[in-house]
Amino acid sequence: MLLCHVTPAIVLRTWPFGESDKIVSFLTESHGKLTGIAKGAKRSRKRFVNSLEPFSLVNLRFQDRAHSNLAFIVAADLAFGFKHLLTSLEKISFAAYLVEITDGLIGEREENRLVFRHLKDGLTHLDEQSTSLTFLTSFELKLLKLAGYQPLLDSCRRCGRERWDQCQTRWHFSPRDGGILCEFCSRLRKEIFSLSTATLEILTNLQQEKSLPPSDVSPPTGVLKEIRSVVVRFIEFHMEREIKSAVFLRQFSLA
Amino acid sequence: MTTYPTPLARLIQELSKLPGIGEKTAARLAFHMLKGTREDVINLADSIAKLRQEIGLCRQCFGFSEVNPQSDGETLCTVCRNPERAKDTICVVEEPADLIAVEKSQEFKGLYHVLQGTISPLDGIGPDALRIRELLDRIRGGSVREVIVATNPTMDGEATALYLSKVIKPLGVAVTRIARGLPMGGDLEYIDAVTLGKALEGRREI
Repeated sequence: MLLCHVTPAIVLRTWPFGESDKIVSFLTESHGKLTGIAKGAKRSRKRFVNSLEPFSLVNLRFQDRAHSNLAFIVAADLAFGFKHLLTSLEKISFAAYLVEITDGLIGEREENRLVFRHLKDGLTHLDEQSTSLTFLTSFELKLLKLAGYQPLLDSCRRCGRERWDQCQTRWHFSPRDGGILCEFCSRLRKEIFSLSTATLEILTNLQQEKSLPPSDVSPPTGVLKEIRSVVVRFIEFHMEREIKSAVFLRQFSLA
Repeated sequence: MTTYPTPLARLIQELSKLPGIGEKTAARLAFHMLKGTREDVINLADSIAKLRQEIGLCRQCFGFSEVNPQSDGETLCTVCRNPERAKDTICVVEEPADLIAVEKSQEFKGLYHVLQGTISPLDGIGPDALRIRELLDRIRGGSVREVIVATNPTMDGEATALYLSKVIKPLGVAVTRIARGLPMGGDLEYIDAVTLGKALEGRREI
């Protein structure tokens, strides 16, 4: 008999499959990102009722299948529904964005409990409090760090020149290099984002903050938007595709 | 591997493209047709062939409608044509199948509007991909007093409902959402927490 695994999980995406089944992608606490088939999910009133909607926190029971990458979803009991997320377009846009970038930056079956906790904290914050650009930016930066893509901001990624070098007045962010480039090295790259000293300073501070959203940093909106244009492009670079929900975020919120 | 005669294999292949039909079921259906009378098979083939020619979308509500060859394929469905339907209430649904489900309830006497989908942030489907502009035109040009949003209680359905509320309310029209609650014959003990919560939230005096 196949072993049944039990783990808390957050529903990332669902796709209809056949007449009554669903393919569901979860971020689990103990097995990383996992995709499985939920047989009869569209009609089930017992095993999956109300639990397979994106953003839901569930207690997932699944079995691995011998000849398939898709797990067999035995049941998913709703642990927490984040019901306030569905009360405004802005919150839905924010939550969809958090889920999409987490999904895009994490590989299948890469166990990462910190990322699970980070997404859970992010959705909890959105569920309980209002949305803000500071929250969103700090979520993105912390996610990049936990997923192993933290931008390096202390020195030029090509020549190693220290950022604190007073001769250098302008720095540029290069997604391809994973951090900043000095004026000279930036000439070698096509896709770079110019950053003012103040913006770079705030970006560094936000990156070092541990709480979500940061308690001590409250940057001006203009600076945050400048930072986010860089961070979003950096995330897309690693996801190797556009972030679909970013369009909604721009349309339905201030982000 | 089983080798069917070519016409039979072709039919099985075509039938197995239908939702919920695998190769075995397709083969069973094909054999059933072979055993049936010639007339039955011709009627079935004729019905399928005429389906796409004779069914189109209603030019007002975008539900299914019989195409009138005299009107360049654009016509009104039976609901929109019916003079007894209340013109001041529009029920908005996602798909034509949802319209049929609401119609079966026999509780709604107004008109419909089929969006042909939902807003979906995770799939990148925005309001422009749906029939929302046409709905707003109907509201602006008519005597609509209430819009009932009957999208599914999913994340996408809720996003669509919230968006509709946002764009319709400024036009001075009431926007309501269908209620969520317990099914007839249900048992409280086995109802999930979300549905029960919504049922309590939407309780009413008796």
